[in-house]
Amino acid sequence: MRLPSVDHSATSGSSWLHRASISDKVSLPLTGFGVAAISASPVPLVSVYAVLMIVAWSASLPLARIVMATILPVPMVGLYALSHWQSDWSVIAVILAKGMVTVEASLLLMLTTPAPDLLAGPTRWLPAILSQSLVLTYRAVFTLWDRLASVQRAIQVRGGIRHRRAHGFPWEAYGTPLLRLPQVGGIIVGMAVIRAIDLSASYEDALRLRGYRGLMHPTRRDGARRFPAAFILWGGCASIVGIAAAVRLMGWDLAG
Amino acid sequence: MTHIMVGDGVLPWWLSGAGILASVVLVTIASRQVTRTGSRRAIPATGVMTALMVVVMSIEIVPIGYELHGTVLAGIILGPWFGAISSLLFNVVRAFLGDGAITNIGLNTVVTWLEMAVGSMVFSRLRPFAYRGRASLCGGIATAVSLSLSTLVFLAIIALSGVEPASAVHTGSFDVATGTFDPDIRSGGLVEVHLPGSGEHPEATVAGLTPFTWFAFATLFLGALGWAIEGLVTGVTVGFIARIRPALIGLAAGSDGRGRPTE
Repeated sequence: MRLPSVDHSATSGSSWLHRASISDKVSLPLTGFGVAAISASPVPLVSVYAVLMIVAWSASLPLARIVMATILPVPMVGLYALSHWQSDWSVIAVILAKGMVTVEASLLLMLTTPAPDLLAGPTRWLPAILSQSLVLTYRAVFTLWDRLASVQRAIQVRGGIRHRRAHGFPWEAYGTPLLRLPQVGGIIVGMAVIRAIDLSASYEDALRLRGYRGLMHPTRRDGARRFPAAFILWGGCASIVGIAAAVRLMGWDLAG
Repeated sequence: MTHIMVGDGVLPWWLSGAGILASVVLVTIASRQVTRTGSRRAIPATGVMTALMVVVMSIEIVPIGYELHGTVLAGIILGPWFGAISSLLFNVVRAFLGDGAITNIGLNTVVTWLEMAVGSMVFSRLRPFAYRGRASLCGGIATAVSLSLSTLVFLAIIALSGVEPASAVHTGSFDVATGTFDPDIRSGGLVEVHLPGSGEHPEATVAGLTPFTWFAFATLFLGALGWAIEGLVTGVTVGFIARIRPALIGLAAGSDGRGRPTE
């Protein structure tokens, strides 16, 4: 999923999950991670996928985008799963479901937590060089998106990607042939990189002049935890992982 | 770009653990190196190149399932040590936005770093030839070499992921009198030992080849198309940077590489 749309969802939402404390929302990826690590049957994984979808729906998150994001890695994960083919489709289903659940669980955290809140913790305990690079990475993503979006618009108004002259434009639009796309793409990337490095260096200089020492501060204090959200998230996490562990330990064959 | 795209709990724990350990060692060494010798001015470039990989990550060449990432370009600009930091940050972001596999961050950091380091090393070897408009060619060669090597490492990791230490070895017994091993553990030998590759469950085959062999063929075939595309884009980008800002990729401005000024 594209970082700008994730950032927009995280900063513009006001649901119960958006308002929940980050230390409670960490339970979401932990749930996905725990269930994926424990489960050997597709049924618990599919169930957790559905439960997390309900959580996303209750927080008014874009369900279609989440589903798309969880499906996108399926071809590559599927290829890996087929490389371990042992005449058992349930193994393939488990490998695919594990990938989908972990993507979904991570996205729920990212889609409901503004980046400064996510980065505030790591900037405190990471080595300075890592934390500063992380903060500048976050900033540079938006600079690069902006540059690439401008170029994409420029290609569109020149007639898009086509071999022949484009019709329907009020100006002469000859388009960009597909075979020239790598060349055009290389120049675009080169321009974007040079511009973004210059901007990023100026940005860091400006931050330092204003007293920046490599730390980010969260948009709100984490102490203001809300009891129902904490209870739902951690209680749900413990229950789901516990059930998955029980299913595994008891050897229940839920796939039938 | 090569990375292991499977969820948590799929790869064996020992493999994921080894990857995490290797990445911690790598990033620790890299942090010390860049703190000792690196320029602070490279930090913004590290952020930008990591961001570039995050942005390009969302462009997938759908028919062949290949994702461009610009890892070799990042390696050429950042070098191997800042590349290690960039590799870790990129894989952390990618785990939360793309694959979700937190336990694979270590392995992916190592594989991505390998691409960057090999790309950087090959390009630095080719740097004397990268003047007079040949920077694109050198960038393309560095990309192709680096991606093909990292794909082989990727395949080795996938092959290892099918190995369970407890089952990679098979039971048998050692006969003291004859000094030989007998696969039958009930044969009364002194010590039960394990011999690799003598599993009771023969691996399933498709058209005479194991699934892993098919996977390796598919990866190399589709990968080769991807390397060509990525090599082309990276080559053009390196050529463009060589003309506009040659110092960014270690080339001397206004020189032909032999100390003679260009016109």
